[in-house]
Amino acid sequence: MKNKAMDMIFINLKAENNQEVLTTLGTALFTGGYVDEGYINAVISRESKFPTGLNIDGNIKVAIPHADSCYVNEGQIVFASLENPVKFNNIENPEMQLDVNLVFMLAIKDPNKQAETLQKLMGMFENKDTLKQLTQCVTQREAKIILEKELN
Amino acid sequence: MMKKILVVCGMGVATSTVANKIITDHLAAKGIKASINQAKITEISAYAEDVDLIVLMAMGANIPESIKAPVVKGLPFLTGVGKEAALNEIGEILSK
Repeated sequence: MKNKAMDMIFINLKAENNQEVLTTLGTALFTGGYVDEGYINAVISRESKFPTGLNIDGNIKVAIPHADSCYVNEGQIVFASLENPVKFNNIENPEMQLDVNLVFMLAIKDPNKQAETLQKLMGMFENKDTLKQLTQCVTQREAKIILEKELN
Repeated sequence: MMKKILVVCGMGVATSTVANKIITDHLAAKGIKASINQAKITEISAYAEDVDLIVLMAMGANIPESIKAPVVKGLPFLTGVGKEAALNEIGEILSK
């Protein structure tokens, strides 16, 4: 993560639905110059066709929304913990809804260059203790320390 | 002949990249040679004609009936649950 790292971390984000989450995180990417103006709509549209909710376990559900790299200027990941869970559909079964509490929005410019970071991110999903810590963070700084340790 | 694997996801950029890397590392460790490509689900017909195996990341997507290659579910590469079993399944299909 770069020096704008704090802008890429949302703690206990309040949102009514997943579109609000996607818009807030997408706006952070757009404001940071990582994506162009088409990215947010592309993410929302993609999420409705090919959902990204992951059922990690009974308490923790993650979503990894993203869009085509044509909307991306520079690779980045935005993280949000949600104050209240928001429904995302299940990547495994789009008709099933999951109460997601952690969201990682991915801006992917060059999949090959970001493969290692993406693999580390998914590797982190295997570690429920780390995910639990992320749900419990109350400051951006706490989350930043965990994410930098896991993803760098 | 080198076996061909096609990893398919919604956008061909995120989840298929992760699966590609995990499968590539696994096959290299096992000494199995295979080529791996990634595709968007909407492009599957154009890419899947002569592949030996499809790893499907976008579970909601339907695979066209014309495609006969065996399909392995790629979700374990995202959550870690069942990853070894999925890698073994891929190894078995490729060794046929």
